[in-house]
Amino acid sequence: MCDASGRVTHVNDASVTLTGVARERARGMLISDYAREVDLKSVDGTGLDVEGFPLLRALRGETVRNATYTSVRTHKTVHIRTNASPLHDASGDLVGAVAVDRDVTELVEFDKLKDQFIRVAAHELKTPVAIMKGYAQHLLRVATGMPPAVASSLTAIERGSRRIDRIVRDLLDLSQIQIGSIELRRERMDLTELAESLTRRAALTTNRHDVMLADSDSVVVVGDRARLEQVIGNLLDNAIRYSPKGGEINVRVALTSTGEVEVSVRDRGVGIAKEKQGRMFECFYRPHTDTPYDHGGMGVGLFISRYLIEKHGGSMTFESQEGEGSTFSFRLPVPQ
Amino acid sequence: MTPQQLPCIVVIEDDPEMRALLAMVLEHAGYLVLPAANGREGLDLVRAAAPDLILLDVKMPVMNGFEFVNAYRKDHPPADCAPIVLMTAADDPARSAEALHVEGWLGKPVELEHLLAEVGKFARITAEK
Repeated sequence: MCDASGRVTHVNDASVTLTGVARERARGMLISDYAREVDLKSVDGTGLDVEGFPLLRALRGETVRNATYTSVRTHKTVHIRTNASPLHDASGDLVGAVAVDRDVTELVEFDKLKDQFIRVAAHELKTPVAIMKGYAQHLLRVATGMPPAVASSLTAIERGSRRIDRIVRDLLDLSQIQIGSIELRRERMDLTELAESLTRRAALTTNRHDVMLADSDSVVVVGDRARLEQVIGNLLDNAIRYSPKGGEINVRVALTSTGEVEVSVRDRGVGIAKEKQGRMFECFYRPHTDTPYDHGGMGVGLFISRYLIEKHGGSMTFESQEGEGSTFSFRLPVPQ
Repeated sequence: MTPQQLPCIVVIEDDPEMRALLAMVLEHAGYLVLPAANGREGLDLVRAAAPDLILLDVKMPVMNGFEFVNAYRKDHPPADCAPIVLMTAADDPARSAEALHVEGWLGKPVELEHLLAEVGKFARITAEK
């Protein structure tokens, strides 16, 4: 606890154990000095600015909920979850602030273990998937005179292994996003040409939809080609998947008045109900669960896509009307 | 055409089924394939035969891909080194390839089309000399 002048008035035993700062020492200390002494780090290990110290934020009137930090001051690394709140007297004047710290070390360690498990399991799946996919592809390429039933079985195996491959990649992306280790290559690349080739490829996968590249500007950006391919591919997959009646799917690459480039994918599909639109970019959110359009999937495509676009310095948005269709777009900076 | 005239590829991969698949696909495409189960076996092979290309897995017991590349280059003057294409399940295969200064890379699981295209870039050219 601290008073309105920003001096520590009380720390309890648990806090002394967590922070390693003795009660006698803490009492009367300025919060900023106390913050330096406690030396909290973000969970990813980077130092925390003194101004960001929860008790100081609370003293500025902010309510801090479930902020998680790491303390390495004591003999072992401790993860602390803090709630902090300003204190007012009966007349509403600020008289100080209080912070409640909880030791969540075990939780954080379990969480890391879970991430590590997902990572290892996903990596281990890569070789068996490669074997399944490879043999199926090889047989489909070279075997002649196969009975149709055999050929279609092989095609099914190939498609199934592709789906597992997609899931494995998504899981690995998620775990990389979690630990902040996705690194983009930055090379000049023709975005319009990429959109065009992906549009052509998507058109080959469906005979119910007209997948077309609308009149587009020719734009070169600096970015990670494979990652942008992943994003546009994901938007095209979604557009096809959620347009069960077919119809036009339009891809467009256009320069905006603000000097960015916008890539949009527009479908005439089932659209997204208004009340679900706010959650579209949440991880694991699947808006079509328990509707006739529930096509499975983990609900991570848009989450990963938006992360990748933001990592490129861009932004992703959408517009949708239930029953009319959706347009998903992203913008990227264009180098001068 | 005798086997000696076919472009020769040393395939170093520890998983026996993956190795068999690569051999089957590449032999069908007209290459002579010499398979090895780890870097150590690979080194023995490249000492005996000068391949046109080395297809190299990274994570392997006994001697991994990184150790193999270092040992191979120590043994052979640059002019005698065959191009190396890395096959890896790493998150960023391109980065591994850059770090090792190898000629090409393929991310696992490999698409057969990509495999044949990548191999064709190197093995055919040297074989036609």
